[in-house]
Amino acid sequence: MMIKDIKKHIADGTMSAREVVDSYIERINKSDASIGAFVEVYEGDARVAADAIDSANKSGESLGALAGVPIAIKDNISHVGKSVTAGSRVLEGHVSTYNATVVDALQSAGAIIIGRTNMDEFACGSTTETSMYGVTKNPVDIERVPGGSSGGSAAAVAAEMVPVALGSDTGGSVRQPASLCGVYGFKPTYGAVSRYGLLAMASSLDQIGPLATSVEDLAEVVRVISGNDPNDLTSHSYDEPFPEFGPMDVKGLRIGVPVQFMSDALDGEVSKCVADSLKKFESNGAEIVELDIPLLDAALAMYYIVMPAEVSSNLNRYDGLQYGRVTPAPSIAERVLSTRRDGFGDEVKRRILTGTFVLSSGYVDAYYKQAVGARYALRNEMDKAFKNVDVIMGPTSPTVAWKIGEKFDDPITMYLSDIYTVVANLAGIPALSVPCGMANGLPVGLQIMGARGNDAKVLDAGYWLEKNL
Amino acid sequence: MEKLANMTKSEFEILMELSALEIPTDRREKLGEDISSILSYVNKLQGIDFGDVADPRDVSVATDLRADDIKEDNDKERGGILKNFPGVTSDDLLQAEAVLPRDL
Repeated sequence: MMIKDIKKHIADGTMSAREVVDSYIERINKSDASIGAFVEVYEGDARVAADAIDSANKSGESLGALAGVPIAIKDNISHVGKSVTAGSRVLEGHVSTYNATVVDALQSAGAIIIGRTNMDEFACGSTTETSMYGVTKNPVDIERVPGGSSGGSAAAVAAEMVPVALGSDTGGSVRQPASLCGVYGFKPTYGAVSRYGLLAMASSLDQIGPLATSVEDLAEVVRVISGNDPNDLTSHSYDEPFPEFGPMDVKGLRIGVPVQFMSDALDGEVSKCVADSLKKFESNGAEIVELDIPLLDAALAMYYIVMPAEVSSNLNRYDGLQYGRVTPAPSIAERVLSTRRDGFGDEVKRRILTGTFVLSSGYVDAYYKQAVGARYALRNEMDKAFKNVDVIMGPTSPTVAWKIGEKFDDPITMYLSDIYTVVANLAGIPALSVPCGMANGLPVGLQIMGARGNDAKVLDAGYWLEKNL
Repeated sequence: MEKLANMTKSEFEILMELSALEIPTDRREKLGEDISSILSYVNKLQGIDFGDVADPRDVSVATDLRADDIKEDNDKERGGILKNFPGVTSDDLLQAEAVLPRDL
């Protein structure tokens, strides 16, 4: 069900909030054993919250924008009284003592948090294979990965276990799993949604975003969770960023397509789906503008310096001294080492070591400072491009979903799956993945990016494609 | 000098120390190779002229800082923090290992 259907049912009495929640819990109980999207389902709490909505409805109280809508949240978003582990043994048993700002916003709007979803450990991964809870499977083909790191959220939405879910996107972790599972995923402009209460991976890149089965539902959720938050100094308020959707005319819409996005690295079938979508826009009056932004070829290299540098710094706090897992040892120094040895998985260790290397004396200028300079240059290039076009389009992922385990031991091959998505995080711009067809029986996503703060334009273009493909 | 892919064994040991990570001996070679291949990939940034960009070390300072107010003591939050702490005494004191050895 879409959010508007749930709201209509509750408003006209054809379904109570309790019945809505029960139907989704039934679906989770039926489907999740074979998929592994959820790491915990809050059956009792969800029913209590639903009863409160029904009671308020009966009393004639006005209901919030998401009243009675079940939503799943990724296991790196703090929810008071609930475990939050980021899929890592180092936080096994850790319970949130406060709510993330997005959780407060959702609950104030009447949304019902139904459970937390699986993810790659500390969001370090593109397949949801690195979690301590095990692998999440793609509902389209359970022998394949759902993408990552928000693979649990994408799989939960794709299998209709929830209408919407929250993920976090540091280099494509909402959009890439959305693409691989055939659902919609949106990374808002950096700062449009507060990061307070999100377990940090790479703070200058992290952004919370929703996954859903329609653009309208993404917008419904972003309307609720966006806005300035005093607890996150990087957050902003944008004036009326998310309009109501109506019939849209794409005549005159200028769509930039970087030549770097349609290179030989792109799977032929994926390329065809993307090209067909672009033709659809063009035949309805949009103008396709070829862009040449050479720095895009270096974006993944920038990302794999900046991101691990920030990971190594942010994950220093997990030392077995204040919270989380502890491996006992005779001294503090040994306790820190043994806790981190036993608590972190290999991919997280790989990124911490890489990040430490690029920040270390003797290498910081050649790697980190060079990457940060390049990032600024890329951001400027993207700003310049958006003076000439309204949106930029291309593939979300270079391939469709691959088999579980296929790329697990080859980090570079795995990292290349982020090649088109990291740009939006480096530049801080909004980006959306819209299902645009099937290649070899598996979903393909079209990525739509916009200028910073132009989230509405991105969603509008995605909405048009959803209705016209 | 013994090498782990392009990284020497001693360089890898220094890196482990800086990262506060202890990597089991049988995992070091693979991780060393992985990091070398990652560094080799990101080396494509070397020598690229990015033109006239702002100095990334110039960080703009936020001016709209939130008020530095003391929050009311919240028993629930306090209890949660105590529960998460690895060592707590019966009278709610946080128990930590001695930083300096007792025999100093």
